[in-house]
Amino acid sequence: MKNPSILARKILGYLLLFLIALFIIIPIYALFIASFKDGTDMVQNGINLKIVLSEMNLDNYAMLFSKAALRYWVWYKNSMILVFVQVALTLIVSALVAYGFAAYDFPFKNFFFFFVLLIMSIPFEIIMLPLYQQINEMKMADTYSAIFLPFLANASTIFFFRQYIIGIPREIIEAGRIDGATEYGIFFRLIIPIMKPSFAAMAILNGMNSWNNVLWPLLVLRTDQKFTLPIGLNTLVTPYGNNYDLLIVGSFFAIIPIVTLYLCFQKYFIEGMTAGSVKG
Amino acid sequence: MKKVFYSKKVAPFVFILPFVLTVIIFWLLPVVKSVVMSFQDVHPGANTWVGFKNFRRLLGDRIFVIAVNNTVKFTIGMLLLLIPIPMMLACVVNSTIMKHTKIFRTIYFIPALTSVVVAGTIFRLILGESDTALMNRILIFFGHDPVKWLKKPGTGYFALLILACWRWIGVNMMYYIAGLQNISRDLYESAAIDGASGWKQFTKISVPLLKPTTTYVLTISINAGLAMFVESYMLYKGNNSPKNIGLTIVGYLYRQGIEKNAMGYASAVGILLMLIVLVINMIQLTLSGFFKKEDA
Amino acid sequence: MKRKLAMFLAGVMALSAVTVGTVGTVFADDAGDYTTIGATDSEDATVIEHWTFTELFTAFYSDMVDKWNEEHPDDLIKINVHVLPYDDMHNKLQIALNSGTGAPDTVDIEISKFANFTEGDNVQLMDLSEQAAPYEKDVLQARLDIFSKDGKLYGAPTHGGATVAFYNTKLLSEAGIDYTTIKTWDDFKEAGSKYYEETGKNFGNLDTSSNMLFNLLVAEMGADYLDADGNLAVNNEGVAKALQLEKDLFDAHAISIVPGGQADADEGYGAYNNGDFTVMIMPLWMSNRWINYMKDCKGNIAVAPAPVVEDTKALSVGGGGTGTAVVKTSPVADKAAEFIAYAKLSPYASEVQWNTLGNDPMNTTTWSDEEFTHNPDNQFLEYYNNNPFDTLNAIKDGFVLLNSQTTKYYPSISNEFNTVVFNAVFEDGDDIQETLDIAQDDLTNEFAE
Repeated sequence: MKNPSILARKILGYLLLFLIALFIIIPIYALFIASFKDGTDMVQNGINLKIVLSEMNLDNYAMLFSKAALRYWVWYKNSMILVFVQVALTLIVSALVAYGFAAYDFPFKNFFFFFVLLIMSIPFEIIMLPLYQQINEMKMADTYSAIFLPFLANASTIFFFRQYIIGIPREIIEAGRIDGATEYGIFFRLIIPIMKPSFAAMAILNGMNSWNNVLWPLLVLRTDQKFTLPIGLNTLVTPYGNNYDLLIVGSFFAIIPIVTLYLCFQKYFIEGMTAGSVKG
Repeated sequence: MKKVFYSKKVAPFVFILPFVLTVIIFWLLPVVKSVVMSFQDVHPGANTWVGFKNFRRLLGDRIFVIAVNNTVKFTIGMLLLLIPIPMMLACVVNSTIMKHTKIFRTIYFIPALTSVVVAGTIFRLILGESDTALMNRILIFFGHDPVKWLKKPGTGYFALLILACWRWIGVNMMYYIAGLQNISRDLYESAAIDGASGWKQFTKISVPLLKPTTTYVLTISINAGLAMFVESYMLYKGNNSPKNIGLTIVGYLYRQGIEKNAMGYASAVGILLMLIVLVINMIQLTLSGFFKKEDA
Repeated sequence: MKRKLAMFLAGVMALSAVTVGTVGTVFADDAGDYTTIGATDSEDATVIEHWTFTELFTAFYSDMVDKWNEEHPDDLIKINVHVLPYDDMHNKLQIALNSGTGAPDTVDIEISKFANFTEGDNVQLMDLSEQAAPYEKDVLQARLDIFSKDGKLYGAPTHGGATVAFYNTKLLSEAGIDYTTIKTWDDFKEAGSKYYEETGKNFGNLDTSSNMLFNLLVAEMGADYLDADGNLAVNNEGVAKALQLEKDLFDAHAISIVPGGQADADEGYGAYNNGDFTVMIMPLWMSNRWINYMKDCKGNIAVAPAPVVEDTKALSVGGGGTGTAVVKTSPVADKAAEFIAYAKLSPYASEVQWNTLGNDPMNTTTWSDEEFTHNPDNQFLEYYNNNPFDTLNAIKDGFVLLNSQTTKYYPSISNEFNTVVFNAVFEDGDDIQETLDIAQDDLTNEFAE
């Protein structure tokens, strides 16, 4: 490869990659540096990238792992549980629904599927207030089920799974029927194993949304012991009783597990996304 | 009974039942409720019908007009940045001549994994007013005076846009990378043999063949833009910004419904936004030929 | 592929299990649902569910409930204090009261939200007049009025909210300025201009996201945001004059915009702590911020009456505050009301407020209690270089409130000024009357029936 134009393209390409990477990394790096400094000072003077060893220490981390930060870990735990439950349930329910749409022909199928598309296009924020009233009337306020039930049959996940299942040869289903498997048996024993890569992709996307969901849990949750991590962190920036040390170091620490998870999962994520992606 | 449950005719309905139930309880009912309330004055225990009053009031509401304006501006800004840049990044990352691109792919996706609470906090502090905050430091380095980033319309808009870009570049890039996997590498190779430059390959092969992905990304970006709220809420530590420069339609809905307890009026805002979203989506999907394909 | 995936899933499970497990078991035992204070061991004690938006108040109530239990051994109380985020707590309270379920027994409501809860014919809060009667004559009337409506007292105030001037005497004397000679805004303007010219640093605070100073100016002008009939009129002459006065002070560099938009915010504390600003016109409850966030100014701050316009009757206007209310439908409403009146209005309550939170006491009997006002152990008295109670006594008869502050309009007026009006006039240099006219339109539309 001695072609000069290819070399130029390479240089240009890397330049673009580096610039954007810088843009992405700098805020996180700034937060990382800030996590070693005094939180109040950060909030008074803004954060920057200056490394002043004399002003930096591990106090914030010591605090994070002490009893003073107890509630932080409670939030952390809540978030983990909620993400786990929400993702597991959403994937199963959405896969069921997607299979129903992809593998069968039934009356009003297009009408129902139009529903999927319609829901995809209504931003949740619009129904948020009446839904909140309704949750209150149903005595579901301050419960985790109120947080994830409305998202259980997740329209974009259904859409994605449907694309994926359509790509599976119908012969597999027919072969299952000939072997005497029930309709549900076919789904659980034959289809789910094939769908695994798409599960990985959707697990990441749904997990990400659930982990970062702010607005809806903020409305639904009331007791501080039930707060999720974003809601909890948000309580640290009120006009009264600020706790910036915990906010900054806690914010930084909140990124770590989900990034770790993603790093392990990454390969399947791309595979799954590709297999279920919108085809031309 | 058991037989019916297992029949091939009934099974699909069993499969889609959870979906239908969730939709009715958690989506359809609230939408209906919202429509009803938008024609009412809502007071505890006593809702009164007021016809189109809420909608009439909305049209004369200066702050609502500001909110619509801001939202449209944000949405357009997001579309202009968050479609071409991720598409180009995906092509570069995916290109055969580039090595070690995985690390970049990973880096770009980190913001998507970062809660908007955290992101908003970092950006608020980076954009702090003091001359020691990062952005002002950079300005001062280049001989410019420090700026109150979050207080002026231009810089406030910039701040929100930057935050949105930071969060979504990686996600959109992933959609494009996934889309690129469906384009045969042979196409690029034969184009290269024909002497097509990198830019030509991008515009003549990647862009047109990525159209389905672009349609999808466009749809979700328009929806996300029109529903924008938390970014502003976190950047401004609440729903109030100077002269409402960060107020969005959903922000106004939240303000009226939750902060001012005017559920009827807030519902009118919601219904109007829903109509806007539906109309834009219909237009956009029709233009991109989406419906034709679904019917086929 | 399959094996890898299985391994991966196992890894995820293990990771979450370990995190949840360790964190859960280490800490679970310590984590209650809320903080219980008072007679925690008693089975018969009256249980009060209380909502608040700052942890600071938990310690205060803890002191008060212990004192109550000491004095009423047969009538014990315990309180479950739920601390919720500020905006969130008020929003949720509103919804709980409207829907009739999920409301607490007692709740701390911030003053800028208070009028939202006393609006309409069907107020869900209890009238505390009867329980407050024993203390009423000693408590600053303006503070009770602010939480009252139609002769009913719906909330027990937390502090006097006396607006005063804090002067950094060290910086001022370096510039040759004697703060005790500043009586009127003209004096203030002159001193400020001089200080700015000599040092290049800022003198007083102009808040663009808080109306503490502006309310004082409006009150001193004898004006209000409403007209004589109680209708919205934020563009009236008096308000415009007050805004013009603030603008004049701003143009003369006697006041400058505080970083972050207000003195009572983190960037503002920073500006005072490092000497970029010298004078602060704020309520006395800033004491607690001074000692915590502006430590470097210790020993240099003097508390004096705020400057006035000529011939005004108003010397101080109540700024900020929290009204503790009792929910009418609470099963323990009567007992809770009795306790709240005691815990907020009694002389002992005022003393605890000052000693633990630095809130200026509103039970005025304490102001002349030498032992209390000169308590050598008090961290706030130690911080200032003069005695704030001398200032309180000096302005005692000039304590006022704006009538609009008790109306349903006030939360919105306050919001409109803090987000639109001040930013337009001081950041963007918009015309005063035009800006006020726009504000009037916005507010009229909001309350259009």
